[in-house]
Amino acid sequence: MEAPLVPFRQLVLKVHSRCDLACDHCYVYEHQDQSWRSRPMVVSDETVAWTAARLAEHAKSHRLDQIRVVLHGGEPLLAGPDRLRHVARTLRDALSGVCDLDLRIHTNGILLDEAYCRLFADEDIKVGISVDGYQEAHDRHRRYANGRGSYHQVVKAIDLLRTGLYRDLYAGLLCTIDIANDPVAVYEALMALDPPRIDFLLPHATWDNPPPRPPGARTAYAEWLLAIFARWIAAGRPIPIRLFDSVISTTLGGPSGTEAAGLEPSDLVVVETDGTYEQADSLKTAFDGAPATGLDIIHHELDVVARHPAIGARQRGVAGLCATCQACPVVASCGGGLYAHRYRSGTGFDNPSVYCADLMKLIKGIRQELWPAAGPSPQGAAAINPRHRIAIPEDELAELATGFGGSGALAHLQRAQRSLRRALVAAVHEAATGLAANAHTASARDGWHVLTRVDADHPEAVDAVLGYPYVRVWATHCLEGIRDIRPGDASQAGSLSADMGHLSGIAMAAAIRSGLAAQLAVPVRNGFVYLPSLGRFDVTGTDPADMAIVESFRGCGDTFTIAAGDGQWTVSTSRGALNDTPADRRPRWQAVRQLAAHNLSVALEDADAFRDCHHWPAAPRLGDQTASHWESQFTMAWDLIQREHGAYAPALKAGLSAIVPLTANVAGDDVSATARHAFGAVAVALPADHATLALLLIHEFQHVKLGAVMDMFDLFDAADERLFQVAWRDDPRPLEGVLQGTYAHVAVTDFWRVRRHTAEEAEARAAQTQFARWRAATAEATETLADSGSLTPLGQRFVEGMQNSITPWLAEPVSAGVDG
Amino acid sequence: MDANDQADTIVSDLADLDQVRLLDLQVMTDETISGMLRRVVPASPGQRVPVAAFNSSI
Repeated sequence: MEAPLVPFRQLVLKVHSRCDLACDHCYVYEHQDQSWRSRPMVVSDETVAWTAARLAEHAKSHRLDQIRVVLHGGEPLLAGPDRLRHVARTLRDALSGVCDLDLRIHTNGILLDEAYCRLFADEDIKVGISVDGYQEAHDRHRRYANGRGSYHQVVKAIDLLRTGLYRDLYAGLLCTIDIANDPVAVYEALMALDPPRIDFLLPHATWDNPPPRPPGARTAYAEWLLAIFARWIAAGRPIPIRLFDSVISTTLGGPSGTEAAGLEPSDLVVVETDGTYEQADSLKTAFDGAPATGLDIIHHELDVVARHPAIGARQRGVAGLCATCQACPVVASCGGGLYAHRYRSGTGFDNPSVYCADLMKLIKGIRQELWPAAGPSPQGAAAINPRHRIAIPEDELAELATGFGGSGALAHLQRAQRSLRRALVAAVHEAATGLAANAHTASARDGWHVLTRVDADHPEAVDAVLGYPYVRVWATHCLEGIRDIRPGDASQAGSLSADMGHLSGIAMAAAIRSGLAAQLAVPVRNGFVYLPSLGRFDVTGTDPADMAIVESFRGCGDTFTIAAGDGQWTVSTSRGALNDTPADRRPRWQAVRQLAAHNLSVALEDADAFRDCHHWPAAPRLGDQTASHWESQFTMAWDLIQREHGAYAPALKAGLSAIVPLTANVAGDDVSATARHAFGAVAVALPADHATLALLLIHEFQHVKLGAVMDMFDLFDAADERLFQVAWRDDPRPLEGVLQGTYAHVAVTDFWRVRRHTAEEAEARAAQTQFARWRAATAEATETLADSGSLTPLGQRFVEGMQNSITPWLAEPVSAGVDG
Repeated sequence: MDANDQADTIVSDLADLDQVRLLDLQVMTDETISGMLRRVVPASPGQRVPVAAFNSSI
């Protein structure tokens, strides 16, 4: 069977085939391939136009949302500003409305001046520069043809980028390794140039032309890199270093992020100045003509190139490696290294890397440094390697697809949610470290440290807090904020850092639950100190304070202290503030209350800072009487669900953890909602009767289940932006909305299907009407989904599951005169 | 569940972090976290990083 085509997401466009330097280690001019001699110096307008057209065609065909184009050479700045402007505009015009263009240029920096920077700013082109470290290191190889070093000119160019107006253009630095250079001095020299990221490149070499190394120094390149790694770790990983991050990422089961390591399929193509397609140009080091494909931009679509056997050879993962690599304990991180470095005459690329020993030592060294307990052994690596992916038995997913699903299915969804929450909170911490330092980011940082301490000894306490539905809402809010932050918007950044400080409240909630002694500054938000899953403390009436000091005590899983402004309190999570003065008529401590039915207890969440996320206003803190009424209605609704709609009870019992009261609709309509990120929570305005509450809980929990499935699997093509009409909404809905609505209405239909037999006479007749109405609407919606052409194979099976439930119901008799 | 344990399972692309210390998650790269969370917090197109970025640019 033909492997699925891997679309290209990166295109390197050679805009100039010559260079204004004569670096003696350059793979374009000094290695085996000499095709540059016969290539036009400058890319033609025709080639540029065809490149743009082919990219647009390819992006449309594969519904790509972004393509990266790197302008390269030779030295691309030799093409001149007018040509580069023309190239940028031609590409953007062709891709406008098709996909986003991430446009970059990689240069030796010699010609980079203010005019070029203005051009790149105007045309949104990010700039990467090659520099090999301190002056002596750099000028060892990167020289003009007359032998003069280029260091000062390059640093002058970098200075333009790293300060002031053009900082946003500064993509980073590439450094080619020379083991004759002092590695730490190279690293410090690069850091002094204030790059946003760097990478260290092993000099291109093959088994036929191995890299220089002292006699017997089998792992000299690894030792060179590990010296830098140690310095980088000691400094707290101040900037990304691509090679190191790749090893860390792949060790933890993530992508490599580079073609130089790991098993990710290559999705890169090169277009030369003459319009010919080539494979990655590092292959120039192997043999003359090594990168050639025999295809060109005018006569061949990119899909044809994507099917070229040489392109496919670099997309087969472990299966594409030699037997030695396949059996290697570090193959997931190494991936055989850069493809070109495996070449040997006679055996082609079916070899380990010429840097094999270095890569092994580097990867093991990184792992040993970061995970010393696990050790570098295969068993140790497996113990910390979460390549154990979360899975769900087919029959349980099929059961979920029918609209049902029991506690077993929920357990698998919950396992995925736990992993996601841990990744989310780690991501928020990482994002907070990138914001300007202030009291809130410091609070977030300190909160992280406490949370990791609690996690080490009491992971169940951390799980209880992270599992609270609105912790995920908070985390995604923070990460979306970071994603969308406008550069230079201090107000936005300040608001975001205040939100991130919430991490300290989460940490203290975990510390209190675990009985661990800890103390943190926790932000005061609108007069409250929030401890998610426990409650909030009202500090209004004291001197205003941005932060409160919260302290927990060893062995006291119930009691903590809060100091804010001129107030200080000792608080019991169950009894409230123990030293409220008589003047304080209102209880300062507002604990999360529970709705306790016979065998199910869920939080009545009317206090969390992030609960108001349901596109309908959350109700304010309920009085005790209202809360009591809620409990009685909930108890009756739960009894009804267990008695008459028992198929939904196991999942609800396993997964429903919180109910958020919403404000009532003045028009009298029922209001209910779920939030995608609040797994386990349902939001409801308390309806008039418990039967309606039961229906709303069942309906909304369908959204919770499906949202969790969609966190694990792609059920449809997210690039499909069409809108579809459904019976339960006046406005047409996107595909995800149709899927969610259909899934929920399977349960709504089933509710009425049962209710028509169990309700009293007048209500039973109404239930008949509802059943007839919703079975038809839901069946139609499943057809809309099936016919959309945008479901993944798993999505198709999911829709078929829904149809398996609905179809028999279509045949059930309803009373004469009932419209359906 | 170990994805390799049972034959009739559907394996997601989510790494099981249940047994991974929070402290160890700290060293996960931006790309790793983004991959784990791509459905939860989709990256805006301008921020996506290739999974096998071209070696000769950054």
